[in-house]
Amino acid sequence: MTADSEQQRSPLFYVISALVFVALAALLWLLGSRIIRGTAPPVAGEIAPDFALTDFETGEIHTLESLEGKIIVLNFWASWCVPCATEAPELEAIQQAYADRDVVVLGVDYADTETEALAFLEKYEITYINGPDLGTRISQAYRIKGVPETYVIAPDGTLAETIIGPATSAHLSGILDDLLP
Amino acid sequence: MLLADLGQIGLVLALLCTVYATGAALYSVRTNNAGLLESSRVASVLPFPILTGVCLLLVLMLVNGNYEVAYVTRVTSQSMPNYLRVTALWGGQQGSLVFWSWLTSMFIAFMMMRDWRHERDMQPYVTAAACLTLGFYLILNVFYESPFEKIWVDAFGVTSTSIFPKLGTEIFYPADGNGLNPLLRHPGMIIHPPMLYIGWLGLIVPFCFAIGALAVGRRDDVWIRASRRWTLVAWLFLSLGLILGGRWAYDVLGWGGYWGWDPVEIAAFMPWLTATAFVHSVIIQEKRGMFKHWNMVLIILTYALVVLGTFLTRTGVLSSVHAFAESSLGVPFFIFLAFSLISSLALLIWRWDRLQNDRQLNSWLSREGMFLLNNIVFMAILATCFWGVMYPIISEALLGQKITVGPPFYERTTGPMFAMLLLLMGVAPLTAWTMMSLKRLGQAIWKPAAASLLGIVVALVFGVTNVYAILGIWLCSWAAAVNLYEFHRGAMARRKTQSVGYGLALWQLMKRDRRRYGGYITHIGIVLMAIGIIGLELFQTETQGTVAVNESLTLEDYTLTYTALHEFETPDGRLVTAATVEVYQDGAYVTTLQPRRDFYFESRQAMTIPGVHSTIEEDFYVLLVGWKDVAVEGASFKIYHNPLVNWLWFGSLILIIGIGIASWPEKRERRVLNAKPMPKVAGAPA
Amino acid sequence: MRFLLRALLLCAAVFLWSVSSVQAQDAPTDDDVNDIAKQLFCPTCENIPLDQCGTDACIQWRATISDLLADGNTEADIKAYFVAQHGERVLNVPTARGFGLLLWLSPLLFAVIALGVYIRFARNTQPVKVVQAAPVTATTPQADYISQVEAELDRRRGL
Repeated sequence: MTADSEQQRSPLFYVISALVFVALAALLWLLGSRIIRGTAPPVAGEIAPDFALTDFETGEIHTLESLEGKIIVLNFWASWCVPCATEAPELEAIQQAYADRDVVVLGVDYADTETEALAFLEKYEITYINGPDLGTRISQAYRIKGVPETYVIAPDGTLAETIIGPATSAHLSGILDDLLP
Repeated sequence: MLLADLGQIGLVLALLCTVYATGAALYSVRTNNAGLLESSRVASVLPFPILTGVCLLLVLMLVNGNYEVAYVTRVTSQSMPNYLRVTALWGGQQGSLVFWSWLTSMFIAFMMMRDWRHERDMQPYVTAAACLTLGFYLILNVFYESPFEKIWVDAFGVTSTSIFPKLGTEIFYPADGNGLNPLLRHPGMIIHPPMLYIGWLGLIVPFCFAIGALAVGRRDDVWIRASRRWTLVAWLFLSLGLILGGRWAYDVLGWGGYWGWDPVEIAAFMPWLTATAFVHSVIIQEKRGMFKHWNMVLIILTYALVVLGTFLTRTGVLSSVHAFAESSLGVPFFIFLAFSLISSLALLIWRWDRLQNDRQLNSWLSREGMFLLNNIVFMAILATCFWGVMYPIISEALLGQKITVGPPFYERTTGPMFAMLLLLMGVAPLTAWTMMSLKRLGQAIWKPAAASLLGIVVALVFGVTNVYAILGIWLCSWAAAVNLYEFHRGAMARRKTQSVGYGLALWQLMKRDRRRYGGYITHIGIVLMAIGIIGLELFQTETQGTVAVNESLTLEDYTLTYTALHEFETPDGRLVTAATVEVYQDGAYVTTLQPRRDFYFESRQAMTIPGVHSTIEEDFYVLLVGWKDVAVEGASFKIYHNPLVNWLWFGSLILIIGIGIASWPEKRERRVLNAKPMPKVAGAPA
Repeated sequence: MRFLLRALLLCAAVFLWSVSSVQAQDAPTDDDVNDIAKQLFCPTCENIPLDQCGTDACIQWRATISDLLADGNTEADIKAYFVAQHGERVLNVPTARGFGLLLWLSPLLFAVIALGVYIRFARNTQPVKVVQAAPVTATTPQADYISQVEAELDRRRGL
């Protein structure tokens, strides 16, 4: 009986079985890679994901490479975000205090509309570099959960600190002072 | 000792029971020890009473307001009435996971308490499959997401949550909790998740039987017969759960629709697709001894899709209104999904040759041929939905680019496939088993076909000009005509042979073949739902505008006049802003509606509750989308005109009744099932 | 840089358009805005279309649509603008280009596979053997059907 049925197995049977398992492996790989990579933001010690930020004012593009050797304070914000409004003056204070000490504050404007964003920058008299998160590429690279979020990147390109929620100038200057020689 | 610790102990005990039951069941096969098998049976039933106690304990804490327990703080608050505190059991990740385990244990207990005399050979494997499943969910409860974690506070006032206290901390008693997500406070939402859960988890029963049958290499259909009622009941609840979800969305989410093709909705819908294909194709195996492999594939797929759906929604892999917050469940879920899929498929491939079909397809026009086609179409819909859900994940993994696959994709691609199903629904009941010639089909078909033309006439009379709509309405009237004609044909035949009245003949027909005629009623329900869906999808109109008091907005033949705005606070912590609008149809006063917006102070979330004027032809659906100072600018309204939408709800009711009839137990069945000689010898291969 | 170019082009187009057509324009209505918003998804409101989403971000986005409409942009322009600003994800379905084509073609592929499977089975049918043919008593289709119903009911009874 079994001998009979063994003969009935066509090559197609094996091909299809193999295909099923290949498809299954692909699905599992896909889900697995998502779990391993995680959907949570990167944490301190990880290499900071690269970005290209187009300046609102000058149109200049700032990248990790172009800012090499500097400490970067990368802040995600939006004009519709209420806590961002309390955070903006704190970041501006950092910008003023550390401007001559190789610290760059970058504002990434997430899922925002340009008119309101520019009005926001004017209202809070922001002087540090700001630009739109074009194609939401930067926020995707940093897997942000919302705004505001702030990432401090050390001169060697690793993340020194991840701050979820509004950052304060006291907290930030503490981190910066540790990083600065 | 705290109540919470007792709950945690209960979870651990239940887990130990499943571990023992699995081990003892499998070991009893090797040692052929009947006593051990019996003890594994007891151990597999035990988690049900234990988890019942655990759930009651959790409910007690929720109602009592034991805020030192993190879960209680997260989902309840002082302002919530008691019935909401009870339903908060499934209002958050941890609680709903316990609830989930409890339902699983309930199904397993009922399954294990049946009379196993005639399926003794399968019993150890069924037990193992069931207890492995339950054991997995309990592992999640115990080690990853326990609702019994308490809040601890250290000397610096920093709080943390865990089961066991950390050094230098003591228990913390918050004065109040955060409260349940307002979206989950609607009656529809209160019963929607349990219904879905019952549906999904009930499908474990046929799966376990299938695994048992594969493991011992049985080639008969006992696994299907033994689990048939469970399958139908699970399918009933799954359908009910999906429908209630749609109704909830219509009533509460405030977007004028019932189905948004959200990834999580689709994740819930996919097991329904395979389960629906399954309830059809098992009939072929029972009646003709065919599709044996296919039924195995379908039930394995259904089980895997339930696990996948839970995985996607509970681990934050998909984000949507339905999804739970991100959690640590990703890795264990992934391992379990991989394990269950690979092992059950490997088992099937190993036993492939044992499952020889008793017969082959004789004609593509036969009933079997039609069922095959029906199954294939269901699979094509499934593949499309699956692809749509996975595609953004693939895109992000391979290209690093987030994309959205929204309703237009699903509507355009699955629309024709659903139309195909309607068409089949109108052909299959007329075909005979085994053999059918085109000529015979033609003879059977011309009467209902002629009747279905009436649908087109009605559509044209009502001024429908959209080609898709006319086609859709024709398909609906076609399927309805054929299914009704089946009743008529059967009753006429019986009247002739049994010389009874038409009504009695119909009644006897239904009584004597509940599954078949219940099935036809279900079909009619689906047709009515399809009419509602066509109405809403193709003819929904909407408008939005801001009006001052005593000004009007017009949509179709309706006019809405804004008369007043009220704002008040409720004792359960809401700020309600309600507009009063008068609705006129063709200039005549119809009704007064109060669309409103509820703002929940605790969660700082708002809900938009529509005002709806419902008739059999249409709904006039008003949303209050915004308002400024009443005196100055007035309020903004969004109004929808939803033609035929009530047919959807009415059809759902018929659908549920139909499935109910089909799954209602027949007195003799149990005895008959057991009296079957076993193991059944399959038809000799040619 | 591409964005800037795009924005410049957009501005130029708007300018030319407003110069060439002097006709008075009505302010866009909520319905005009919703018609476009319906087809967009804002990242702050995952899986909820822009016309139904109540977050502050979405309210701003709708206002932007209204502004762009008032400036004389077409639906396609506005969608392109949002894609340039916030990426492909804002569209309710990917455009059928490049990788997006894979999405749109796959259901067709599934349909073809389904058809293939069905044809394979349908061609493999074995005609019924003579012994299993309809009973001789069945003379008319009606009588045939009656016996069939009875037989099926009996089968249920006996099981």
